[in-house]
Amino acid sequence: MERLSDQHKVFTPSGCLTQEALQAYVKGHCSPEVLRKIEIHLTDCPLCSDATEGFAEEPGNLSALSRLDNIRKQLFQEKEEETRVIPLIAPVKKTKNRQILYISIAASFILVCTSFFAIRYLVMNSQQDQVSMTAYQETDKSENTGETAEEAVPDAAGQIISDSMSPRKDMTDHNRNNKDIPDPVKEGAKGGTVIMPGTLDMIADDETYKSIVNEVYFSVDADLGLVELPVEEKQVVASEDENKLPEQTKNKETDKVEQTVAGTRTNGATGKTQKKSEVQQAPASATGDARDELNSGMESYREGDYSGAAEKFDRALVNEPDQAQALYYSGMSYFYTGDYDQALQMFGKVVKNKKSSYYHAARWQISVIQIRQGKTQEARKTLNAIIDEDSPYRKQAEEEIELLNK
Amino acid sequence: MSENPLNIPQRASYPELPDDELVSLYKAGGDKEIIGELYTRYAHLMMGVCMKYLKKESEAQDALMHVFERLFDFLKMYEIGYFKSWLYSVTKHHCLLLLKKNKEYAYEDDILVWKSPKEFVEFGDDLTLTGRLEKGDQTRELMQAIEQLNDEQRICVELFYLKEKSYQEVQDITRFTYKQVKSYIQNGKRNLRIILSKSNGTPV
Repeated sequence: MERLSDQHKVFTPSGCLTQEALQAYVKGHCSPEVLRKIEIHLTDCPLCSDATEGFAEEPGNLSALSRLDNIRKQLFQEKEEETRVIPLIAPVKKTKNRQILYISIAASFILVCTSFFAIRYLVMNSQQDQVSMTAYQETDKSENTGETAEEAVPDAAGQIISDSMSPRKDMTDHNRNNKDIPDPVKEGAKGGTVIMPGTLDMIADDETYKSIVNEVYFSVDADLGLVELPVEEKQVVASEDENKLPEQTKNKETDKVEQTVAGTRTNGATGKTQKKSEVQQAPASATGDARDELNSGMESYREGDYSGAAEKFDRALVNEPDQAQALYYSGMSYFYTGDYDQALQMFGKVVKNKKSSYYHAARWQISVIQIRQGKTQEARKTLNAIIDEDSPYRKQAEEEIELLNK
Repeated sequence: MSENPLNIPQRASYPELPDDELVSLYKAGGDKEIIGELYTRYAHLMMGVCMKYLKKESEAQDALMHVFERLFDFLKMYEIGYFKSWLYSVTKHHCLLLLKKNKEYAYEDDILVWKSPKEFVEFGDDLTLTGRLEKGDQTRELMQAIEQLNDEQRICVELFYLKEKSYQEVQDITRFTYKQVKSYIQNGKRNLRIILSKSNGTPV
């Protein structure tokens, strides 16, 4: 191998050893003249002295010099990138720090996947809502009774209810949370219709659903998971009953109760056996009377006879004071008659049971009454509680708070 | 002809400039090519220093990267007297910090090192003495000073400077190791300077 001589560049402009001279010195490939110069320099230069010592201890260490070009590229590349953009992730320099990069990539991947499924879930919900609405509309067209919802349900709830209770998504979400309640999409597809707690009032101002209000009986307690019969089926059942038991046609109220029970059994035959057994197992005495009163009250409520409905609900509550549906619709009846205090009392009883399927609707009605009574501070508290509870009425509550703030 | 208000030379001229001028130009203009030139001059030596203290190649590479990364900013921030000395001090202290902290690196300590290296090594402070020794100056004053050194230092200094032996030849004669020979010569020279400055009353 050629020895490093005076013809080579031994020192840098700074007076220190060049890389070539350093390597030649460590390997012992220097001419005597160059060796002398280098060793004299080493007595004056701690930097070169330490450097030669670092490599001289283990000649294999010189291989580290072959990586200097890569380090230079990495160093200047990173600096170049830093001047171009502000890095989202700190530059990774050390091998062990690369783990942070990998973890970041993995976390990003999980985040993207989670977002994808969340969006997919929301889209599917939206599609189901649309199918549900279509089913309702089809039912509406095929079963036109000529009676409008505006006649059946007066606009007593006012602006707050009509503006804020129209969204269907909240109700469909609410339905899904109750496993005992049939899927409205499926029931709609079969020609049947499901009525949920609070649905009547929530859909009161929605043109699409107004006719449904008139066409469906409210004789079923959603807490029991019973399904409403569409009008056609009820009429068929009624006519059969009339043929078999003509004397019963004198008592319309009794007929309707039986129709409802029969309708429930009909649905039970299509897969609702559990609900059927629940009905069959219900006590016939006081509970039966309470149910009669409840059904009768719902009938009056549907017809817009809120005073009569309130009386019937109160009678139903004598035997079953905690019956959630009776409490809720009693509250609604008092609400429509303008007896807000009595309505608040009823809704107050409903919200004592957080597990009740009428809980959120009752809470919302309380806020509505508080706003109507001008109790702004109390209304704010109630609305904030609705928001905090992630209620189906959360969106409406947020809108109301915005309106109150204005 | 284009204007050059800062009188910054063209890139091609950077390798010809001394360190101090490069540092001044970098402070004025921030041209990264200047850091590139300093890298060419010192990276191999700094790698050797890091290898001496850290032993492991991967750790030495990381240390080299660390020092040069900070050079981009700190060169502008701090007043640097003698660049080579400053660079050697911060590199050595960074390595010692890594060893001392058991690789749990304390950034604050590092900043202190960069601002004011504790062992600011003075390079080339005894070029006059080196010149005298190299030229075979055997004046009475210098010979009396050499006589005052301890045996190891005296023997190594005499063999290396007066007899013009290489490190390897001194090793062969004295049976000292490479490190010992280098150390005795460096320390002997430092002591000579002290002795001569005391006798003359002025620094040598």
